[in-house]
Amino acid sequence: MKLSVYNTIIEIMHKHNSRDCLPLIVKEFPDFSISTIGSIYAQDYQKKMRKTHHIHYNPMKMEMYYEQYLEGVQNKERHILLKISNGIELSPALLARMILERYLSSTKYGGENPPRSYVTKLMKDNTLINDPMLASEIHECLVSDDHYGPHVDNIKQSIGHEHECKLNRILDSLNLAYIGEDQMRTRGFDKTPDVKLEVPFSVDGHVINWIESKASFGDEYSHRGYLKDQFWSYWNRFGPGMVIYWFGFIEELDTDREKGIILSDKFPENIVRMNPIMK
Amino acid sequence: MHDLAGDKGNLTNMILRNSPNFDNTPRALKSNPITKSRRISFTTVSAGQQEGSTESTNAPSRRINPTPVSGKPFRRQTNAFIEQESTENKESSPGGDSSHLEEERELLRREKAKRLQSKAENKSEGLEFLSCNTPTKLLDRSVSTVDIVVADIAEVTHRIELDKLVHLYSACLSENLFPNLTMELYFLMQLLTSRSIDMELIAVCGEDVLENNFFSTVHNAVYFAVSVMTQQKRLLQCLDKGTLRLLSENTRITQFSPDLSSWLSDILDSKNQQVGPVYPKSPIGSVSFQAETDNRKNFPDDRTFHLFKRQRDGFYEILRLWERQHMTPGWSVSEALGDRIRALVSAKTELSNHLHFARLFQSQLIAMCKGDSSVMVETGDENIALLNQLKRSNPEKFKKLQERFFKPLSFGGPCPVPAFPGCQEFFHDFIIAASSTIFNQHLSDTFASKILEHLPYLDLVECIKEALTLSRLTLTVPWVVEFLSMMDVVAPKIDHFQLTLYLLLAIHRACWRDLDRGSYGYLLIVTMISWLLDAISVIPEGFFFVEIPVHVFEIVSSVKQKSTTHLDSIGFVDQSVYYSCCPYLLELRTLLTEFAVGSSSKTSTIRKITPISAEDTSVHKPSDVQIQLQLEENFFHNHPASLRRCVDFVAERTASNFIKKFRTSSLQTLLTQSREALNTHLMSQAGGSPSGKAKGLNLSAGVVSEGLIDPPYGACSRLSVKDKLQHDILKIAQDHVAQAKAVVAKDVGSYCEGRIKALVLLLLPDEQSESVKQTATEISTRLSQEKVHSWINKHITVQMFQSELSLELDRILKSQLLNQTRSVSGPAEISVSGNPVESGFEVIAKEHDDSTRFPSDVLIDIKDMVKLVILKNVSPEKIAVKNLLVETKTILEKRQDWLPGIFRSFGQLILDLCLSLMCYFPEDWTVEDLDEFEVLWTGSLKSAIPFSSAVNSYTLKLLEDSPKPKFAWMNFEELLLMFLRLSLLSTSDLQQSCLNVLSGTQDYVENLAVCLCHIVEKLETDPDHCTDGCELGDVLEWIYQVCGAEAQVSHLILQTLKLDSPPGHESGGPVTDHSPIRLDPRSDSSSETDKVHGKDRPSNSESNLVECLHKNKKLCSEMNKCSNNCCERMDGIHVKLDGLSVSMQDLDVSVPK
Repeated sequence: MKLSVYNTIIEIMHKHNSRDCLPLIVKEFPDFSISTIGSIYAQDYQKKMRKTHHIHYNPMKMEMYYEQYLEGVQNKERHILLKISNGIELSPALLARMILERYLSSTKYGGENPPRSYVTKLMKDNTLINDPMLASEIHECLVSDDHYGPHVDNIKQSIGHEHECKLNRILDSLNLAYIGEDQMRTRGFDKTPDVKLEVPFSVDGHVINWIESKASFGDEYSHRGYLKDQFWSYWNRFGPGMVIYWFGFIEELDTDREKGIILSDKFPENIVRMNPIMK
Repeated sequence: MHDLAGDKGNLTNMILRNSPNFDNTPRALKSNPITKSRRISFTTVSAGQQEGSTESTNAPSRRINPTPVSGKPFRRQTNAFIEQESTENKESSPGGDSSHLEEERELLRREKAKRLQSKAENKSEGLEFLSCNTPTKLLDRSVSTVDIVVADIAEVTHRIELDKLVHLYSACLSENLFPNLTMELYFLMQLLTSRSIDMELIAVCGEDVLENNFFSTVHNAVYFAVSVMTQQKRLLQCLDKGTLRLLSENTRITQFSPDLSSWLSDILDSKNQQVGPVYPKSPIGSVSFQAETDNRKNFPDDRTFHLFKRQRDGFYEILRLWERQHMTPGWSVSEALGDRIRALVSAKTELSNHLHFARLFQSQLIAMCKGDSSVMVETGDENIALLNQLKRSNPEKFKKLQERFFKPLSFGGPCPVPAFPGCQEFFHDFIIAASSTIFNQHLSDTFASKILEHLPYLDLVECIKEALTLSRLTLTVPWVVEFLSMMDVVAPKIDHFQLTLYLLLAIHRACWRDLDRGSYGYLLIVTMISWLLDAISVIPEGFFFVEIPVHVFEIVSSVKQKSTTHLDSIGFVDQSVYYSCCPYLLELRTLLTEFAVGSSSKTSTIRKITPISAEDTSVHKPSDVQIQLQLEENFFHNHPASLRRCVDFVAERTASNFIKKFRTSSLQTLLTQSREALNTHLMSQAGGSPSGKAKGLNLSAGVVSEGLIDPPYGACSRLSVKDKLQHDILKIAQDHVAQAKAVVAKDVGSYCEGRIKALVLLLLPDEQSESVKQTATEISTRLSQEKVHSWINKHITVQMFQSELSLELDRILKSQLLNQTRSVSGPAEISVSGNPVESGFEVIAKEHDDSTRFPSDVLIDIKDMVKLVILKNVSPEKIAVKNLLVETKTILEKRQDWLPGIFRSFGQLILDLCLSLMCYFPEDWTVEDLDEFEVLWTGSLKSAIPFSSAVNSYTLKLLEDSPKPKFAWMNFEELLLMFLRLSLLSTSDLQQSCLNVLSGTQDYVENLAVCLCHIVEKLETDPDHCTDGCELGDVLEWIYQVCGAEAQVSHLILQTLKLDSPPGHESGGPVTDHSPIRLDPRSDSSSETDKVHGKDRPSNSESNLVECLHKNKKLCSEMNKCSNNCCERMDGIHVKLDGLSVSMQDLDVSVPK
């Protein structure tokens, strides 16, 4: 995806400010799948949450949101948390967690912060929340949030896993030997790509020693982070390799091909295998 | 005209003085780090313009200086040269001619010294000989294209003299009388391409006045050059295709010697373009991470391991920055990266980090410098053709381009100072910036061992001798020359290096003699040694001319060549190797190209030299001597060295393979066993609960119950528990080390023996006698076993097991602590049936079907559907729900890429979907519509969800909020019945979850009670359901107590439970099949608390459940006052109540109104 197209898409998203625009965008840019557009939306949404994090996470604001919630309860309102979250543009699940923390703090911990692990547990299993009102409010938030919360975490984790499995199946079907992260960790590697090929192959004249599967869209922010924390480290240890952004990437980011990191949005079809006999 | 034959000294003097090549400017000092292109120092004719004034002191210089030779007539000299050319070089043997040559060399030396002294005089004298100027180089020529004078053969003067000079010069060249071949070739090219706008150029003379200047015109200069070239075709032939093409297209050659021109064209056609991927650039670019040498086991601790991880990444980050920035003007490594480099190299590093880093540095250096394209030579000449074309078509653009175009071709003149071209510069600058003596020491150690694979430091003389013996000078000389070019001032004064230089000089002469036509090997050696002697400032002036000591010749002549393959004679060096080793040869081409396009380049790069210091060689310690080892030594001594290598190799590999196998199999088993032993030990400490590992690991509780720890101080006492456990761990560790050693002792013998026998048989020559094979096998077997045992002793230690077990203990304690914290802090923590999800999950698909959708996709749809129902109040079509559920079943059965997390989410969201449908649209969604749900719940999704969690506070709220609560409750009742009937849920779990909910809220208690009563009734009338186990009585009784006897629901409860009288009277006998309820929830029963501690209390009767519940309630009020102490005690109490799944949450039951 060209950067200009990406920027246009982001603009449309900002205009609509909701995932409802995704099908519209796919209609306008039929080259891209709904997953790609969805991934871009999710990244942009998370970017927004990161940028506005400091606004919400200060004690006064948090107390204010909790008061608003309690007021809503008093007035027998429905969808209180969703309304608040809509108003302050904070992810429902993040707000739910914040309110749960305030609730536990004021009802059970005498103003102290409850242990994080305990809050997480209740977020994962709402049936453990005693207060029916709060439980149902939180449940609602979690079901309606497309970007945060335990279910979304599980979905994200699963998407990553699904694509790693997909990559492994492709390699298996092509009879390309490799070792995976777990094996590498057992052997004591300090940095582990998803796949390290036992025998390298080449793509468009670039040698591939390792493959990293990324079940997300490669935008600038995430790619820069990955380069620093992962890709260059793999290169430093295993030489040139390939990153598959299954949901596409901004083409302009593919600048390190010559240096030994090539980007792709699928497993390439035109691979050249090593052939020791033909030299 | 002078009598040339009469005085050779004058002749030579004259030739050189009058030649445009004669450089009257101060000779560039050897110590001058800048070697400029040794272009002829042309001056202008303009009066008053002093020669030399156009060029500054860093003007290029030539080493050749005029040498007056006295005595012998010219003719005879020439003959001598010719004779010598045809006979063997007799320099080493006494004889008239050769001694004469020595004499001449001596004269050359003297003359040189004289010349150096008279520089200043020359300058001033120049004024007197204004009529004697060399061809002119215009001042503005460096920046603009200038018309090149058309050289005309008709304009040549002094032909006879010139021909003699040609003959003489050519003979000197052939006879190896000039120190540096490259310089001479360059000189010829300069003459060929000389230029002038003034036809009346006159050379400047030195102190000797000459009436005639044979080189006063471009025509004469070109004539001389072309004539010499005609005689030196064998040298020309070695030039690269690009240079040859330029020569063949050179208009002056065409004009002066059509023969030479056509010969050049022929050569050009016959020559294959040698493109030089001789050393293909390593595609890796980095140093591979090898588990064997780089993993955690190669570092003393985690800290150093992770430090090196950062060092490695940091190093490459610096390298990448350098790659990006180093061409930027004004950028320097030390300024921009110095701090980072120093931090990287000298951060609190330990020995292991230095070792690893030096190794990484070295490997990276080798990987990068091998085939570094930036120091490789571009041999293609397409660019020149292109340039010519451009000149014609677009002169303006050409003019702009030409400057840039030629820059990369400059190698700092035909005799550049040693430098660190290309990426070598990075490593050079890195070392300088790091300025770490420790790092330097490790680096030199690792390099020395890389080159010779042994210490002490390089013995160059030995290397050269060996190269002579093996006829592989072409391999050895280049690196020796490179190495020596970095010498410091002191080095040449040391005997060892002096000897080395003499050896090289001897080799130079020998190789010159053997210069074969078309072979590049010796040419390479000659060129490189010439360069070394010429360019390196620390080598004494005129070293080329010195007499080689006899003993050096003896070394060379006494060498007996071995009858192996002679690398030197198999054409190992080709033109591309030659040019990549001597890239400055391309300066010739630069000259010609400049001529061809009528431009001049004016660039030269400045490189730094880093001196190396002479190192002391260390002394080897002799190893211990034992008779058996002596025997073994002798055994190997009397067999080919390959035998020993084979034995060592086989032993090493076999041991390594055994260790690898041991590590992945036996050791893992032993580690697991030791952990199990620890767990078992802890369980026995904890009283050996039969209810499985989970409780057995309940260490702190166990210890508490055993009275080992004073409960209130449980948390801080964990350390002391650990201390007490240390000696147990030690024992377990010792046991397992012994076991490990036993395993090794048992296996290693047969493993090594079997393998090594086969391997040695395969690897040793067939004719080797059986006993040798047998002995070799035995030695190898013993060696490999020694290696294994030494490895085992080093690594499989009590400490290793101890640390593994300590980690395990920490883990157990931590998880225990976490549970405690949770149970104390989280009142609603323990769900009735534990957490079956983690343990219950497994991928059931035997095969993977790619045509099905990803689990994540399906879950997103389910989640969206739940969202639609509870937020938008939209009733989904039944078929849509059905499809999703069917799809869920399909992907569960056909996909292998499941994770526990998403599996759990499926369980929760599908139950959520079901409940919300039944609450929001109770008439559309009854239990009859749940077939697909049922399939999943009883099938593959069964372990994804604790069904008791269906009863929870928000579901009850959902039921109450339903548009038709009555229908919704009926649905819910049916759903629970379905769970019970399908055995997805037990009545006791249901009761427990009801109690959990009611402990949080009593808002929906009545409806829940009604629901439960109906369930009890229906179960009783259900023929398929065994009623005996119905355990809902307690919760109903509890509700009865909460609601009071007057409440409507209480009647129903009485009815359901078939109670004659209300429960809750102290004296009440057994009114049901349950034990009587003796405690009113509202009554104060704190006096009973103590009884709970009694061990004699029955702990598994249902009545006690309720009783304890109430006790806890009472304790709850105390808890607020006594806080943690009470909690600790409560925790202790809990553990006592084995079998009761009453948890701390009950503490939170608020006292009913």
